[in-house]
Amino acid sequence: MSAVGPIEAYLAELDHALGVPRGLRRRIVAEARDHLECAAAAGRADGLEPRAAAELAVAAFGAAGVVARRFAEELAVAGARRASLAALVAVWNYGLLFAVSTQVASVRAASPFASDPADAIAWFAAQIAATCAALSALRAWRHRRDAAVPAGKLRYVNRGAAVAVGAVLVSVLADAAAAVGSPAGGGTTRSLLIAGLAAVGAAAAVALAEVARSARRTRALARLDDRPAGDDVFEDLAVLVPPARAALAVLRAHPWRLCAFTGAAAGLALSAAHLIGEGPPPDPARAVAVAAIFVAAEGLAILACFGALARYLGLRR
Amino acid sequence: MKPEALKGHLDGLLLATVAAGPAHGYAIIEELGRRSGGAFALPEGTVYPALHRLERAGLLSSRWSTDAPRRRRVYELTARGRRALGAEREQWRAFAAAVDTVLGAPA
Repeated sequence: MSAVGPIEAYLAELDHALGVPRGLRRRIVAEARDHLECAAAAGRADGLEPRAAAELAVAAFGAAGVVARRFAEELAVAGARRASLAALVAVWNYGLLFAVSTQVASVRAASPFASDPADAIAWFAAQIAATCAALSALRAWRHRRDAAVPAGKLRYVNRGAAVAVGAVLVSVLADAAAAVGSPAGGGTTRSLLIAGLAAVGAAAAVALAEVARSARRTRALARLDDRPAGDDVFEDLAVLVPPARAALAVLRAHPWRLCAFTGAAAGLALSAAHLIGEGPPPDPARAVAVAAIFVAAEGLAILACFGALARYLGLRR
Repeated sequence: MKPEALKGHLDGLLLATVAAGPAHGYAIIEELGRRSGGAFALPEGTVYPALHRLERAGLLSSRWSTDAPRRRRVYELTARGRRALGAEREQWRAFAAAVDTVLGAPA
């Protein structure tokens, strides 16, 4: 310890090690100072020399790096939970607007976002946002009772939330551009949709700020203890559905096949929804062509997203 | 007792300690040590992150006290914290009874 005294030297070390916002850092150091002074006073009352009492108090408090890491863990875990929740809320709001503006015929007729490219972007953005927000929430839920979670796992929670919110914002911008470029008219419905779009955009911006704050806290934790995630989404799902653990272990070995199957299934579901919504086509060949287009487009989009994002989001090791 | 043995129980132990009345960090840790007979050997500084977490969860509240010669943060159990402590106690009794049934039974 230095000549300034064991307690002052320790507090300086702790202050330097803490990767938390300045206000919180001041509070933590003040609490540590009070604790160490109390402990040193108790040591002196027991007959120890002042320096020995201070050194004993510091030793019992624990290494500054360990204490700083615990605070970083607490903040990073809480931040990731909030980011995941904020992303879910943003995606929920967006999903509501998307569902109303595309699935209610009378609203869709007056919607300024109903034409391409805004419409096509919205269809893909809705799927990406919902999937990534769900993955982020699943991970956050899995570790809901853990006070300490490796930085690698928190990174995946943040990334899932970031991609979900990013997808929402891209779609909001596309819709906003469509609204600006569309002819006036549409009355109250159009005005309500634009107001809803503004609210969805505001919620997404708040969520993005929360994700950015959480990412900073995770980086602060990683500087002290950068343990990797060590698992993937299949492990998360196995915790959620324990009886499926064996089946998930098999699927983990073939992630691309699972991805291709999911893409085909989603394409078929979308083509079925389209055929139901638009009514039966004039001939079966046209129905098959529509289904083939949906399956191909959806399958390719999912494969492309999986290729680009699977490792980034921790979908596979 | 190793610090790992405390995993999952520290929050409940802290809530039970603070339930006796408002206290600052050092007093809480001293009281925890006294009540446990010094069984929990963990770095004292690592208790503060747990206190902060409980405060963020709304189970504790805290304020600066002006009574002490230094700035001192005093923690107090909230109504929500009192309910959480009750639930924690119930769970512990059920868990301890189940473990005792197995471990305490003669072979």
